[in-house]
Amino acid sequence: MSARITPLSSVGARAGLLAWIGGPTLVSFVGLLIYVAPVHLLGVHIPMPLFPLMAIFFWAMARPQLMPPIIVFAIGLLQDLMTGGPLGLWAFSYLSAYMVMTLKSEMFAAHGDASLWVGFALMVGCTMVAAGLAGWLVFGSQVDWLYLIVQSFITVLVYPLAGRFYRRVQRSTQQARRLYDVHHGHRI
Amino acid sequence: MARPSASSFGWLRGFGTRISLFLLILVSVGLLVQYKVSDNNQQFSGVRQVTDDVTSPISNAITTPMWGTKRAWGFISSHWNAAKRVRQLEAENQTLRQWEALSHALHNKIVRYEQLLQIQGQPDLRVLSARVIAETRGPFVRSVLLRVGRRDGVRQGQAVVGPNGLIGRIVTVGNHSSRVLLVTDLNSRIPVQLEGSNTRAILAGDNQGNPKLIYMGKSFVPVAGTRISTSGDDGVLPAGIAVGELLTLQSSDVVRVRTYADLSAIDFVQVLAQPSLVPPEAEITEPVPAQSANTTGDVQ
Repeated sequence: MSARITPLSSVGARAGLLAWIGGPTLVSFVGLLIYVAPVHLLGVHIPMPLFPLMAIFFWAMARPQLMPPIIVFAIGLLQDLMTGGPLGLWAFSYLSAYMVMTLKSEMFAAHGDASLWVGFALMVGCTMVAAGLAGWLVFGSQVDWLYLIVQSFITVLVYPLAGRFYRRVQRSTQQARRLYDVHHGHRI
Repeated sequence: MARPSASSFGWLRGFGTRISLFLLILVSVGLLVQYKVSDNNQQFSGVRQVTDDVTSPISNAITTPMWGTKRAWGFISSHWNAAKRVRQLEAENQTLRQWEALSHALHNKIVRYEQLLQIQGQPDLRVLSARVIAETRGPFVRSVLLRVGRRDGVRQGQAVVGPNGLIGRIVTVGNHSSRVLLVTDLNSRIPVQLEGSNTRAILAGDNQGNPKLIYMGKSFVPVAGTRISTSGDDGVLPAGIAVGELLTLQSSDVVRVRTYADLSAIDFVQVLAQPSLVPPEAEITEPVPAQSANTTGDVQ
């Protein structure tokens, strides 16, 4: 089945392709900015969910070609720089969890939203264990494990909401990609 | 939630991708090991400064509406119990007036004594107010990012205070932004003194809510409620900035300090810029010429 859509200018078509490719990275970056924002609830600091990890998981499952290891590494490194922490800590944690997820991704992908949520919980667990171990390597025994556990719970709880938003972004960028394909005469 | 494509991670089976994943993990571990063996705070400081400078305008744009909302909420909520607050403030004001009179009298007395003894006082501090635009309270780091930098006169090591006391010190300075290491951070070390005695110690953070005191000396006996201020022994932080007070000793031997500044919700801070002192050895640029050509050591 083929469809012809109104021809698009070359610049518009390329912008569509760029949005499709760069969308996940941009969303991860925005998540990172929100992650470091000083948010207080009734004057008390609450651990922020790991928004970058949510974006990594979503696109690693939905469109893995848009979330290759080098992007995961870059997001982790940027998080280390923006939080003022040891360089390599979050990059290592995200990549380790990403590697573990590659082994079980098809199992979680096959059973719908609930199993994806379980998969995400597993990825958060892997990330926190990796972060805790890396922190232990660097700082010794002075790692705030309670903070890690609370942050993990909040991250897992927030994921279904964030996932809805990411799906909308994914649909929009997918549409932009289609327009690019149409412009270049590809059948869709 | 994510609806995965049929080829989820299937592409990863590609040898090249696996290799790149493995190599990137190795690079990350290498960076961590380098952090461990090097001077922690100075690692890639240039890159950190640039990152903070680039991201600070975006963080500022994100936090501006948040602070606006917070201020609006504070304005509305303050009207709920306005009458009660007025009574509280009037009582507080009466007490403060008495303290003000006493403080003026003491100030005049100190100035008089300093004149009589010809004591060189502390250099004047320049105070710079700044807003917090990003915050890191992870399990590893406790720091905040300020929207002031080198162009505003901020320098590394300067003290940062809140309304009630010391918050931390500047560790990284960019052109438009600077990072403050909170006193609770693992890498924070502040020289302090205990009020009422001349006991010196180091206030050390360990990523817990209350920092601890170390290197107090064997004769030190902790008394709960003892006030603590900066000693200025490092030559960077000004002496006398209020820090907090000793907490009641728990079962462990660790002496902890409750900071006066509320570190759980920091919005505005002040950077204390102290004129840097040039040590005498740095002022000497040329060797002093010998008094005479006689170098044989003949002394009359």
